Amino acid sequence: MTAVAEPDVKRPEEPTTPRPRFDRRRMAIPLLVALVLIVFTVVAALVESPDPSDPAYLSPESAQPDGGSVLAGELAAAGVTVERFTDATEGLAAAGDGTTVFLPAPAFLNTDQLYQLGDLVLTASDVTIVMVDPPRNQITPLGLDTSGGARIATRRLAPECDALATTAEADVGRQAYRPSETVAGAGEQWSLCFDGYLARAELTGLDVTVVGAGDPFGNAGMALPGNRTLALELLAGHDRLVWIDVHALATPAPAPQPSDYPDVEAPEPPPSVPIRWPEAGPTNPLYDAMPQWLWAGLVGLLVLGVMAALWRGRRLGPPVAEPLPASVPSAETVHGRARLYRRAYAYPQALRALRAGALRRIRPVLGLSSQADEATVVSRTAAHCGWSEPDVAAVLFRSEPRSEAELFHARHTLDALVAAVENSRPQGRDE
Amino acid sequence: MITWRPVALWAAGILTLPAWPSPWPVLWTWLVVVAAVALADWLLAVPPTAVHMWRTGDTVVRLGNSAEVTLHVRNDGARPIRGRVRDAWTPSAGAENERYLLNLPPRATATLTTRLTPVRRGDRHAATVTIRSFGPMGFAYRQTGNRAASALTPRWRVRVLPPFHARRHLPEKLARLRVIDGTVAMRGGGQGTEFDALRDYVPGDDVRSIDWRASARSQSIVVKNWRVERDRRVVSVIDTGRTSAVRVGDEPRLDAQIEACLLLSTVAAVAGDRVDALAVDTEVRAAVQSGGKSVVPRLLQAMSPLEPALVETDFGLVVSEVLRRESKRALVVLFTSLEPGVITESLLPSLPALASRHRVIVAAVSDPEVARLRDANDSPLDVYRAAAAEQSLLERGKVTAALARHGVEVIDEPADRFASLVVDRYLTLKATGRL
Repeated sequence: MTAVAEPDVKRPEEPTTPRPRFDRRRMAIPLLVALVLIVFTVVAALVESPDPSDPAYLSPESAQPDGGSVLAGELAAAGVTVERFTDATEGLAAAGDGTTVFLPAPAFLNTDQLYQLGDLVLTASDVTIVMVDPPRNQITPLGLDTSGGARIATRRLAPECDALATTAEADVGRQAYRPSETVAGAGEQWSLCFDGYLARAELTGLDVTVVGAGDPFGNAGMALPGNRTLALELLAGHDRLVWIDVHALATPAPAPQPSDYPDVEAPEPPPSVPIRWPEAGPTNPLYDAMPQWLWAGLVGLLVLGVMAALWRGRRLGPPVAEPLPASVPSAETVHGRARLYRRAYAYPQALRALRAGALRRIRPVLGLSSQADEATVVSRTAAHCGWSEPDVAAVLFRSEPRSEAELFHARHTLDALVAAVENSRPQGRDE
Repeated sequence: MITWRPVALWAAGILTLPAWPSPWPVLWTWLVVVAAVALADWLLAVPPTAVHMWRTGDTVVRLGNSAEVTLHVRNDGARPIRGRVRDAWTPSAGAENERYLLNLPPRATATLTTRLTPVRRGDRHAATVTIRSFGPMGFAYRQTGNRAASALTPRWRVRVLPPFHARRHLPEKLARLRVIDGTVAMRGGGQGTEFDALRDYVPGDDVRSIDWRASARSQSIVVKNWRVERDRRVVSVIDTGRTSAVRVGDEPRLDAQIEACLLLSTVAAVAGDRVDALAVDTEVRAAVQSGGKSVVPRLLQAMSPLEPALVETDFGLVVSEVLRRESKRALVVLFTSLEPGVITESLLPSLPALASRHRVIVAAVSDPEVARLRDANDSPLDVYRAAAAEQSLLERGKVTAALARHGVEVIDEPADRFASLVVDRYLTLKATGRL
């Protein structure tokens, strides 16, 4: 006989080849390019955008691209007297009837100066105020609100409005405005030009213009005729121009001291003991209180933690997975069916199964076939174990449990009956 | 990556900080020094891929015994390698020691012997070998990455054979076989139905076996000699479907089935029968076909990697495979379970084709837990468990009856007696000449 051995037709446990790994480098390249582009754009925008805190920003003295020397020259040529103030308090005090006040950086007006500006607005007649990109809290009292955030790059737009004489395109599109909804009548008061990037209100004796971008006034912007026309129209309305060339927030004047009012008796100041900080410097006092080596040591411990993590972090090879075989707990279906019986309150069904099992054990003892009818089983069983026939019939066929307690009881009597049948000798055969 | 040494060096540096007048520059200088030393050491470390590895050792082991597999590591580089090796195995391979120190001059070979004591049957594979090579100062090391390590690792497989505990029954079964065979002196000689030879009558022979026709032709009285049938076919079919995953006692049903199949095949092979074996669920997982005594080792090899599959067994496939392989009448032992759903839906429809050609025995390992649950009476849930167990026993009874109607014998016994009873049934059939 030929011995033919077919080796395993299929091995259920093949040596697992490592799953083809997702190539992270391929994914990383476009991400890296995008990241570089984003960083480059942000840095370039930050470097290129004019900074109002720069002393050269829209200053009539500065010839830099974002300075205002060209504009100052143009205004002088147009016959306007340009008065430059590096102190806003003085500048606003000097402004009066028949002047234009140019505020290239209104963000640097302190509280006192804003009150001064408010006084000017309320009292003056025939004054023009031009503000470049003012902060929101300065324009909301005037019934104007910003519309959306500021753009990074300035848009070039056509004016398309009646409030201005110029019709040429200008670079004003950085911050847009809209009339405030909370102030009644603001809509009629303000007229919007350049698609909302320039707002103008002409009141009695007062003309306020809010420009969203400083580009039309800068030296670089002067190259565009539209910018020049706009700047001259806004600023050359009066013979005098007060140019408030401020690039930092000034400290407000000190509050009035008791000594300013000689009639009032000043209360005695509380005795004060000056606190002496040890070697008080500009740094945190807690930092100075501790010795330097302690802080250095703390940083050193931090680095030590990182190094310890590097030392302990790498495993000598990856953990190995165990291919576990499928396994099912024993008698799982029986347990599951038992829980199902209980949850469904299936007392009759449970008892029916128990009775069928009991009959299966009784029948061989009594010598009955599985086709034996109920009456025969009852009579033979009763004769065999000595129970009364109605009892046997009730236990084996009749009673119907309606609660768990009754089911328990039925099971116990059933067990007792089976035990009685299995352990007793048939009557009349006692020896 | 770094070792403990740079960490210790850095810690020592931190301890000296109070002694310095300005600690911050010292701290940063020290960091640069430690980092530079570690980096230099890392650069000087020998790349761990400059080795060649291969394995020798055992490929087969019986479950419960130990095997030894040796990993040889040869340094193919020009510089000595100092480091560590981890020869990883799957956890159930029971590797005693996986980590070794390596100190390898150029062109030298290290032999690292791992002792395996597997805890499960089946194929146990060697996982990756990882090598860590330290720099000359021991400050930093280079280690083979996952991909490089799996490229370097020599593959190895140890096949763990089933324990075959049932072989303790073997002497008893073989003794009974010899009695049946007639090789042991018994009154009446060997039983059997197959005609063997004619010989002279000796007093004590059964007078019923006298061949009168032959006696008339010869001078003396001649009796017919009978012998037990040989060269019969025994086919064991192991069901590896979902029911074989159920644990009976403390092992899966599949293991008990394999034990019984091995014992039956061993006895049948000794008795001179042709022994075949199949393992089937929805496809044929293993098939061994042969005669002769060398079948048992091959059976062991084929059975060891079997695992239960969580699928419903296709008995139509079982029947067609058996019919295809066995042209002559055979004893087909189906090692499965008496699960009513599978049997009635899959086995019963295809059974007539099988039962008409072959003698079929359905051998199922019963679960003693069910019998225990039927009598359990401790907790409130037990009455329901008893009912459920009773129900399951009734269903098994019905399945047994349905199989018996097709002339199929059923063996439904717990795992500890199972193998022995299956072989007993075979020996009974053999003795009565019903194979």
